[in-house]
Amino acid sequence: MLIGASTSAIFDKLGIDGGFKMFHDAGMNCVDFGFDWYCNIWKYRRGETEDIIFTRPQEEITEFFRPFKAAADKYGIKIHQAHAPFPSWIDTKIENSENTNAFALEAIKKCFPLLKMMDCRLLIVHPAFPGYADKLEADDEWDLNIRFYSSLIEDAKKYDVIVCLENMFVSKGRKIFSAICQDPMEAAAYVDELNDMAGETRFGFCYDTGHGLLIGQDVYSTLKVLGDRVVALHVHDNDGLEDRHVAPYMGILDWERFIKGLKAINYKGAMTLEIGTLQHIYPLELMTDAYSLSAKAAKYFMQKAELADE
Amino acid sequence: MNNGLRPSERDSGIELLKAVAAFMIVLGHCTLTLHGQSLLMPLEGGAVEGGVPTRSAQLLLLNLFRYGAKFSNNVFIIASTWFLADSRTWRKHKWLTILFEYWLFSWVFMALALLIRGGDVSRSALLVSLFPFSMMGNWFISAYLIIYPLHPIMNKALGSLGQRRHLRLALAATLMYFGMGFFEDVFFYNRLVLWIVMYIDVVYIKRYARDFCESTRKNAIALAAGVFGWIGIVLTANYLGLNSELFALVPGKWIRNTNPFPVIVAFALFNLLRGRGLRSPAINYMSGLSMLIYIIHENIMVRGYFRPWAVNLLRERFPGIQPLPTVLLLTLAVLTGTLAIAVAYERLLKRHLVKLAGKCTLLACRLWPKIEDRIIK
Repeated sequence: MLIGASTSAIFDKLGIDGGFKMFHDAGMNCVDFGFDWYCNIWKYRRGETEDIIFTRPQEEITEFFRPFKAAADKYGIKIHQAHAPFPSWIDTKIENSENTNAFALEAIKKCFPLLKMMDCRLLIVHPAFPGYADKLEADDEWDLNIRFYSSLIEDAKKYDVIVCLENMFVSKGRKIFSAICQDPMEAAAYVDELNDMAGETRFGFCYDTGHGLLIGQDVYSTLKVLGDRVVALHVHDNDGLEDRHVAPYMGILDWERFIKGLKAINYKGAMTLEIGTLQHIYPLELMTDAYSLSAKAAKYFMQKAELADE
Repeated sequence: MNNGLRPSERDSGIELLKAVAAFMIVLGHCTLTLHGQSLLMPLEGGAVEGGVPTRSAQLLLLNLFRYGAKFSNNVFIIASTWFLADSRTWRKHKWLTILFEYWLFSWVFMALALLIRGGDVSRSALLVSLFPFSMMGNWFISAYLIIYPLHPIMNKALGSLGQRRHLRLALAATLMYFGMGFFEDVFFYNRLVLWIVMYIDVVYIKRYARDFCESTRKNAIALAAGVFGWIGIVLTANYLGLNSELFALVPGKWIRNTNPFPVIVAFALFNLLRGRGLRSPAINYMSGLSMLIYIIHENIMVRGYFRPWAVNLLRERFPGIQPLPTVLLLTLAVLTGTLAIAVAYERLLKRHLVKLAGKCTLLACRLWPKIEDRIIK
């Protein structure tokens, strides 16, 4: 039974060894490694590239991340999935978008050799989509993303990686709106079309419970439509108003529906919490306990959904 | 023809209806062979006159089979439209795969016909085989390949109308093509127009008449009315034809896609079977082959040469064989052969074709925007 959490800012707060020790002590055995934490695309757009590791040669980047793998091994933590830098794409109306988008794609591609080094097979890559005001026509958005994801097929095959799409949202003021891949039929179509184009299973879906909740989506029926395309999860809660990334039961998500959904699709992946906000709420002394409770919740979900211990 | 979900995930109620429709369409087309339609070689002993008034229950039944083919077309159009109605995009790879399948079977059967007949193949049939999409080798597949990429635009256009104007459009189109069009081809009627009209109607019903769609009672009434009207129209046409020279051609004329009764029956059955929670991998698998069944059994070479050859063979083996058993045996043979080819293709060849379509889609994804950018600049 793989239970884990996204790494977020943990290594900044506790160091590499301390971070993995915290996950271990909290009862977790895997993580969603956040490459995005080391690659701020917006900073790159502004020309602030000095501390962006992904601007450096591949060997240097690999060496940078090697200690993370060593520490994970030391504490018996599996790097089950990794989060690619995001945004994957910025609107072409934004200044310096051409360079930025080229860099974002290059940075995502640089994650593949890192995954091999980390013995990780799942890379979560956000779809390409603009903000609320510049919403694309559905067909243009489809073509853009098919082009974008299909450019990753070669690397996914070479490094034996499954690229995961994720359900997204946009906001206007304080109001949240549905965005790309929130419609499960559309998400399923993306995954199937890309796999057909790859000629093998190279794409899957990472369902984000918090993003679904923000648009008032029923988690059970959504998971049911997505079926076995769901190979990874971002499990977190919120108040339905903001993407707060808090622990289960700290918000308003109907977790019984979530459990029912997991059971319906016989989910086989890891229960990965994306609860980085806890790292900012709790003092370091309470971090392990805070994560421990969430780990217990994740274990509860898996047991109640009667998911096989794989 | 499918909703974009994998066959295993589809609603088996709908899939069952599609599987039955696939059988009925083969039955209807085999009846057409016996009636001597669209053949490229003669039937030994001549064709059985079809679509004419008759006192023979057997021949009346054959007329009914032909109505069955129309019903099946309606089922496929309704099922396809139902799932396309909410879609905002079209899958280029899926489209290309169907196009390649269409082409592959067309060329394979053309090669076989040329080989078996020593090159003695109709020129026009060769042309159709070479360009099956544009020359409408199968009208349904060609129409689907046109409608599918257009459907996001049609959805958007219909959405922008709002309910009242959409209703006006649906009623006007239905009156033009299923009302007046039932009696005669009017208003530049063709099968693409038929599909577009049905698309407008189905989208309206799905978007604005959900109560009707979900009501068992209302659909049961519609089904009864459709069946009653359907049988009534067959018997009426036959009666009129038998009793007046003036109406002699009516039975044949009313066997058309614009006959409203098979449409009503198809839609009522679709609603009654949908969402019943039926899940059957076997039904879904069979139904998943319906597109291939259509492509194979109605291929111009199969239709023009193989089916009449099979009828001739049956007549030679069973001298004096009646029309009804001839059609049933022919249907059995065509269906078995078609299914065997479809299954073999699915297991052995399909993945290669899917891969090829994938590569072509990738190439198109990279090249096409550049071409568009150039044109726009």
